[in-house]
Amino acid sequence: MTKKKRDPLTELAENLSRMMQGLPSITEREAVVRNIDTIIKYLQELRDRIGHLPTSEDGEKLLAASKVLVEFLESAKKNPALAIALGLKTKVPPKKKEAPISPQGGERLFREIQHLPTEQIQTKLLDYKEVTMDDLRALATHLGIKYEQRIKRQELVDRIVKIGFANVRGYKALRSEEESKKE
Amino acid sequence: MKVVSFINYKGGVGKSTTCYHIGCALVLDHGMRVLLVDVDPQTNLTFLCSTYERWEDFRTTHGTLESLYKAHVEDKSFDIKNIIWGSPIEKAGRKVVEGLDLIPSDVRLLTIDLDLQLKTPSSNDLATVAEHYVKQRTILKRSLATLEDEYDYVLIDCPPNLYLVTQNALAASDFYVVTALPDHLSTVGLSILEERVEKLNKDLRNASGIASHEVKTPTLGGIIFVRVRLGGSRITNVHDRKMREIQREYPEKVFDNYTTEGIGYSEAAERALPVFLLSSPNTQRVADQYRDIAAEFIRRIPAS
Repeated sequence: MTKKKRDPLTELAENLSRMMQGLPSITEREAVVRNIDTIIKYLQELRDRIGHLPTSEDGEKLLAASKVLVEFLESAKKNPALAIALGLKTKVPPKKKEAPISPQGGERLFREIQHLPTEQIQTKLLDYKEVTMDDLRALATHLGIKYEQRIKRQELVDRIVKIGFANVRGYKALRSEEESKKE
Repeated sequence: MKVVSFINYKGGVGKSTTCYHIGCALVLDHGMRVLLVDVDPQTNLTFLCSTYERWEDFRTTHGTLESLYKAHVEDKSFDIKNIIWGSPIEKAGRKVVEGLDLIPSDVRLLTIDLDLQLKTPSSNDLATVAEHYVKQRTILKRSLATLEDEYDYVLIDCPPNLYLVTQNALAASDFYVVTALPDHLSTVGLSILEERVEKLNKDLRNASGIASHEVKTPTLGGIIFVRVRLGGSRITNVHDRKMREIQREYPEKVFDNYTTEGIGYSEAAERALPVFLLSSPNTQRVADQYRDIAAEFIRRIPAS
């Protein structure tokens, strides 16, 4: 039996038809193009990153800079103002605690001066060698007289003498004067 | 020299405090020479300037206003300079308002009024009675006349009555200033007070006419509102209404400046110091108000 020779035109048409079946659709072609774009982008990034990789020479420079930085920060810690400005923690020396004002001290001073004439009380309390500010504060506290922490001696003495002694004595004297009148 | 009496029928309306602080401000802020005269036996002005013991010392060694009237009752001569207490306001022993002097009061002034009333004229003829009437009411005036060149202002703190000691204060004055709270009870007596003072002025002028004396009588120098109540930064309705009412009734007489309610006064009183010399925010607020009042006081009643 002899093989029938195929018509070349028919063969071309069949080949074309097969080829046409293998062509992508518009969507498939767009998807391929998008994938290629992504691959290009990735490769570009990869190239940049490799370009930025430090070399061993870069590493040495970094090490030297870090040593300078450590030395600078150590010296800055010794300067409180600079340390605060840089936000570094410094060791604050513990605040000296003010000696607590003892109520006993105020009471003792009160007992000591309560029999003196008012003017003498004033003179004594104004004498900084004889009575300290802590003593005055203790006395004021004992007498229930309020004062500001930064009060000056003259101000506090005036307050103590007038409110703590002179006014009380005046009141008592006026009362006894009135009572003696009644009698 | 201008003589001004601070007066009101009612007690507790800031007469002494206002008299005292205007006096201090005139000295401290305006460099004036001021004499305060306390004619109220309650002695509030005296104890705003000094403590009891220092006053007691002064009373024993120099005397008080009572000494002046007592000398008159006993027909003795008296030099008012003896009872002038130079710069009595002290802080811890140091004089702090130099230029402000005081004639202190005395609780014994309560009885002096009666003693003055009991002192009768030597005869009943009209001229003698008139002469006596004038003399009884010009004891302080005649004494203050000797101080004409010594002071720019004499400020007199009167008691809440119109007895003879108060009549003496008024007869010595060029002006009288009324202090009042802007409430019904404090202001209800304002017109009565003005009428009574006018009647006293008239009686004194008549008597002095008969006795051939020339007397000047005081006029209303102004009304100062004190302890005005604020609600936030504005005056409360009741006080605002009352202040406007009094302003309408006494045009041009009500001071523009006033003090507001607060605790600065008592703090200063306790220390026998003016608010100007204390530093708390309360006293500073009151101090600013009194500075303004004093400045207005000078504008309304110039020293010369």
